Amino acid sequence: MKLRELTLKETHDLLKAGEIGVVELTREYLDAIHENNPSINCYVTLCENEALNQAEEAQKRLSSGEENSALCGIPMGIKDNMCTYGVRTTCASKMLENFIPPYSSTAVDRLLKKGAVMLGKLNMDEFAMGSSTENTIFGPTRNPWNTEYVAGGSSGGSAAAVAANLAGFTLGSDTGGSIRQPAAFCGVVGLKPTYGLVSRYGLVAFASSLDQIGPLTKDVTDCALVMDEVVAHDPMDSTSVVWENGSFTEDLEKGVKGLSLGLPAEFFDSALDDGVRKAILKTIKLLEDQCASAQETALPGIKHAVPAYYLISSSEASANLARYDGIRYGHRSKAAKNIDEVYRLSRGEGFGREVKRRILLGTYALSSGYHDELYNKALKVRRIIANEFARAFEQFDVIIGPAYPTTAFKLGEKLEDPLKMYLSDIYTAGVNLAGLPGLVVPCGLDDKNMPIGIQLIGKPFSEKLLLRIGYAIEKAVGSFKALKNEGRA
Amino acid sequence: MATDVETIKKIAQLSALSINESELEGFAKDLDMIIGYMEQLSKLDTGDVKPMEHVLPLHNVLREDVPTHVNRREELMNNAPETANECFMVPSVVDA
Repeated sequence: MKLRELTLKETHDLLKAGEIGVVELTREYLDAIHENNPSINCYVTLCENEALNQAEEAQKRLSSGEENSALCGIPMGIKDNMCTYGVRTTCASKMLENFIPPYSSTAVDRLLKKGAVMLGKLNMDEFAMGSSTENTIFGPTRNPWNTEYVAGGSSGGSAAAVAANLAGFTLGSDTGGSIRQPAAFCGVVGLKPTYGLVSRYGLVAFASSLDQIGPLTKDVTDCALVMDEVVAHDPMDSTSVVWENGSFTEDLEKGVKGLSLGLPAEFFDSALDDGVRKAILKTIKLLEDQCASAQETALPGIKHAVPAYYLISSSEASANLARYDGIRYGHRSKAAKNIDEVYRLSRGEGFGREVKRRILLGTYALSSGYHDELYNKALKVRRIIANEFARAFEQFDVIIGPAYPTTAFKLGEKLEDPLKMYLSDIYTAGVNLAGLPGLVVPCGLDDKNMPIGIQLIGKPFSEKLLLRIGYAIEKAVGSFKALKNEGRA
Repeated sequence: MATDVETIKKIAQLSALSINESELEGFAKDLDMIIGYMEQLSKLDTGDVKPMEHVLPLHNVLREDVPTHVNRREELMNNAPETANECFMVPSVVDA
């Protein structure tokens, strides 16, 4: 068996026992990236020398017993919207094609300080706007299960790298489903934490009230281990909160007996693909067999989550992306003859089509005459949705359902119809509007042998409960590796 | 159509975004469809619900006013498309 097929936890155990070395492990990952990245296209920047240096350093710290973190010596990949000191950070945009950050994001910095080895930066939809990792200057990321299919998005590179065993784990970001949907498409575990739990300092802002960084991993235990290191209060992010609930790993094995699961009717409507529905219901049955109780419920506001989400996120984006003016950093048009042209032409040349579409939508929604009717209305709907979730959590421990109406679609299939692409965010976007945590765990394969993910949604700071249920699902349906063997046998 | 080519030109102006003539029609069509869909919200009775800008109760975070910054002037300037004498260069902004 190849080392890179091991989970983070298994790798850590071998490293700690001295049975394998960090440099050997890192080289195996780098060799595999050279061999497989041309067909998957998950990495957009490779940090070969830096990674080998970090590996040597991590080995010393492990051998001397100076560092005991489970992440020490584990090769990782980072979505290319998190600033990495001295390493190009592009957001998959021509605008930032040559941007070298003068600092690292807190999340990445924490992992590096624990001895994780950064292999490189990962492909994504430009500025995290998209659901397929096709809106990128680097060309689309392909799904490792079948390269005719998309990996999902916007953290498609982060999900594909884990699924193809080209990283021990990765970080992604989720504004309306961008960790959970690609995790579901690629058959890996993805967690969008409660808003405020992971510092956003150094994450290139898309929609600041919705953005959140989270891990993508091979299994649930790995997810908990990454959360243990990446969660901490950060004075550099004024929305950063303090976590006082102990290790994310400690409840994993507690089982699901006595827990109540709510199934919102809106998550199981006619838009849901039959294969996905069957797998989700079968998985819920497995939890019921372990004495959890499942009951239908309603979240009627969810029907309006997509329009509210796109109005709010695009409005925030139109303001956040105003900083790209072609002066202090980023693309500057060579054709600009005056200051006004520096702004307009640099932005026109630097941003791709989807980013422009969202800036236009956001500017429209915030413009005089439409502000109340569109933006403010969306904010009211946001509160209605958040209140409905809060009421549901008075009755249920978690909400359970699909992450996406279908499994992965084919490359190019939805690219020409932006509204169709937006509508499919129905099961994920409400979670961001309400600031809740959402965990996606693989739960089966469809008839095309593509992975299906199940989504667990909890009240704020209930990550340990979500991971505990996710762990039970993984034990019942078989983990990523079992799924993969089944799919590829 | 709620958003025609003229509307796109106006919002593009507000967004300081140049849009090629050939793209105007496409953006008008896309936005008309998208905004048309979003207008479903206006039919919704939201009564006296208060707008929710943020999920957390936001408050000012104060700290002692002590210098903490590392001087990274050179690294910051290196990202600029054009510099001279440690300054960012832009075309003349006042008429000669």
